[in-house]
Amino acid sequence: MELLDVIVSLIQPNIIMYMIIGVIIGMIIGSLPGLSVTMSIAILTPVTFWLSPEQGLAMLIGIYNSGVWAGGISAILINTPGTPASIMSSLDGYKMTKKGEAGLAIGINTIYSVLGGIISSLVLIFIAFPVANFALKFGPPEYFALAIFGLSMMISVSEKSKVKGIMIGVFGFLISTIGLDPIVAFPRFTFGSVNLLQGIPFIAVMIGLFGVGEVLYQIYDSKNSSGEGLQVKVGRIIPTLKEFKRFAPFTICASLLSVVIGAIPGTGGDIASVICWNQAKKLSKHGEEYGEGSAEGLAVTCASNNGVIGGAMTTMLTLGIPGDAATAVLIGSLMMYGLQPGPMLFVQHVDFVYSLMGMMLVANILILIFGLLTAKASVKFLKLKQETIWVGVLILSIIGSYAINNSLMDVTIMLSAGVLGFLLRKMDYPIAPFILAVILGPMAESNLRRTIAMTNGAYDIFFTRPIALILILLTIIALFGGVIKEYFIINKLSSNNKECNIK
Amino acid sequence: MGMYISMTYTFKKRSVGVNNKRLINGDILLTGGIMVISLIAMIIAFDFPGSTKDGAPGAGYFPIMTSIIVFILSCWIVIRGLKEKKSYFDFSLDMRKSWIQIGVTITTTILFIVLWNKVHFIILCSIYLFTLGILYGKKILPMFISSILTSLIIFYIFSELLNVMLNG
Repeated sequence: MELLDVIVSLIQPNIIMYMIIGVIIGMIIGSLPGLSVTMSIAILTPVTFWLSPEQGLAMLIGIYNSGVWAGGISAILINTPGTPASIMSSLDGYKMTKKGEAGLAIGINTIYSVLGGIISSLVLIFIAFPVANFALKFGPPEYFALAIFGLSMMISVSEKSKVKGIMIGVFGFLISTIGLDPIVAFPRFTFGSVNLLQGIPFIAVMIGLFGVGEVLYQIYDSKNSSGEGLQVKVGRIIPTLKEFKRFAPFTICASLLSVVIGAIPGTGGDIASVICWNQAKKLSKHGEEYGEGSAEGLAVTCASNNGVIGGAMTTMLTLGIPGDAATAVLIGSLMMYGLQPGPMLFVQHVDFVYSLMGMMLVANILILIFGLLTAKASVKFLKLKQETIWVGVLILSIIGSYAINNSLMDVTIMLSAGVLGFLLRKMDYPIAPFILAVILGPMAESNLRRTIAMTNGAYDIFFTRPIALILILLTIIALFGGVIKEYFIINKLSSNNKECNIK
Repeated sequence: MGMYISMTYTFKKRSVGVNNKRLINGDILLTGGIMVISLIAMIIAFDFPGSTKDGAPGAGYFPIMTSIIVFILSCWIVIRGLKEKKSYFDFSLDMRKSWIQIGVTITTTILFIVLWNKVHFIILCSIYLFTLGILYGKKILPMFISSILTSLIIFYIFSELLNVMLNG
């Protein structure tokens, strides 16, 4: 009842107005490749300083939720994820666009992102403390196993060559070691450059691989075409009742699983969407359609993208530990308002906590309205000529990568990553494991080293702690499951043949 | 242009060869490069601080481990590539327009980065957008106007509203 009162109290014109502004800004920034949600929250936090905490936070919550959702729009329409969380949306979403189902893909992105957002907000409201307690059980071995598991999920998606997937994933880990060592701050592979001390900026790498790399690939693929605009059918936006029923179990489970993943600090929408998509692919009756423009696959990734927000907010609010980069910046924003995230926040500012939880629900409702109203307009991106999109993506990739640190080094890294992305794509290398490994590398390394330091050089801890063991077993299944399955099928076939011969 | 055509002919001859064998092997081109990088990284990483007496791994532990795995796997891919002799790139004359566009796109972007602090952003961005537009076959006058307008809008949004330091 108390929560309902809070939601009613939120329906004030000034708070709703700032939340709408936040949703619109998040929509624009999230859909533009290279402009991250984290960057926008960081840049706009000082702008909200002159507002009341409720108004300012309404705007930032709007940006956060909307930005994650809107990242899927560019992933679906131009195969360039707006945010890391929407990497998986490009797999099925872009293929749906190519099949003339751009409208449905955008509609699914909106509806299921909102579903994920609402479910995760409800979890935040009702079971914040138990989820945070579970995440507290994770120590260094579990974090390392989780990072490896996340990467293996991404590699298992690379159908053409798993060896290439594993190689490029581990190469991503190697690239992530550039900069200061995370434990003793020893400079590695910096070659005396101050710019490299902070490591390789993964956002610049991501922009390069998915932005510039995609443009170069499209130029190569266009051959001597006349440069006509993409002729894509928009089609319907809302899924049918039958589709809703079919997607329901997977999307609800994905949302709930994402909340748990989001509650684990350091993880985010990227890991959640990979894990959920992969598990849904294995469990679904239509698993073979996943990655080939499956509406169900897209719905699962969209639900998991926004599903992590509630989990990330849970650990941020209850423990003061950021669930992801965006919540890390939000901690700074809360502190700017004089609020210290942590258990005491629930004692000293309980009304504010409820307001924040209510804001999460209201922001998702606004996204649903805006998303569906602007679905046709966003598909108009495709009416633009291919060449115009190329020029737009190139200049935004340059500015976006520069804006992270106001550094030309980031732009240089972005361009290099773009050329690498083009070469990788042309040579059947999966790009996603590389970028995920660059992102997860520091987490994997520091936790592996902490684990080994804890055990004085022994590795058996990974097999004695149940959560770590389960994650390692799942990693092995993800990487070698196909090979094991093939082995058993061949054995079964050969034994059947022998039986036939005997008869 | 004549020089360029003769270059593409050389490309074609090199890639297809006399006995119809493709000499530019895709798997060796990139994976060979990664193999060399991993080897260099491994050599450098051996100089990083090693493990302590109580078994705590040092700064070199993770780079050495990952570079060894990358080296082994890239060797595997290169050997397999040598057997399969698969070419991923088409250097035939049909592809000349695409290769020119890719080359000029990368070159102009490099020039954009090099000249960033020497020329004002609005001028530099206008020239960059105009060059790319013409390269991709856009009409001169509309592209000229739209490049200037887009540069002004970008400058205003990023520099004035978002406080990104774009000014050269």
